[in-house]
Amino acid sequence: MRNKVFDNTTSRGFFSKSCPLSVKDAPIVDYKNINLLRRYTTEKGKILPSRVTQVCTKKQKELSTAIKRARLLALLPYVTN
Amino acid sequence: MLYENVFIFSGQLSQKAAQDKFEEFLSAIKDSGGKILKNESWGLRDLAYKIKKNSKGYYYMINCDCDFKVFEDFYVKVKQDTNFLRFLNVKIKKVEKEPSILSENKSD
Repeated sequence: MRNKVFDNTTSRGFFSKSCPLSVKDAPIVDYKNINLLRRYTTEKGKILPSRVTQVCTKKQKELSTAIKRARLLALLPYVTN
Repeated sequence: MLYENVFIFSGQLSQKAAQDKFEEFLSAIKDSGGKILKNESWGLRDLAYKIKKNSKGYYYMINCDCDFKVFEDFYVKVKQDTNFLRFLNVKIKKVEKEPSILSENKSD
């Protein structure tokens, strides 16, 4: 039984394999949705790479423009020390 | 063409003064024959970093259907104003009916 559970897990651990922003009822990627954008930036304010977050290429592109717009409007920081 | 605009005014202004400056822009659109489809205030918010020595600002958002010429004229005028901190102008495909996430009136 234990082995079976172990087999089901992939090398990615508990991260889901599919894009979290492409599923049904996924949150809208927009520069006004700061709480969502904050989850996809590091503590310092950098944009997290999609290989870490499992976001698909299309949504990653949307995310990056949204984050950059939010930075311009001082909703998100460019850098935090 | 549909546009979405966000303005930030200095937090050192009074609420009324910021509102007046915003309405100046609304009337500029109306004068040129544009249509205002949505307008909302996000209130006094903390800025993520200082802009022109300001740490707070009044946010206003507007969705409108007008000519781009209006913005060009307005920005030239407004860039000389020290109380005007930032603006963002993006094209949108449709206007959302519900108030946006950051809107002040959302909880009402």
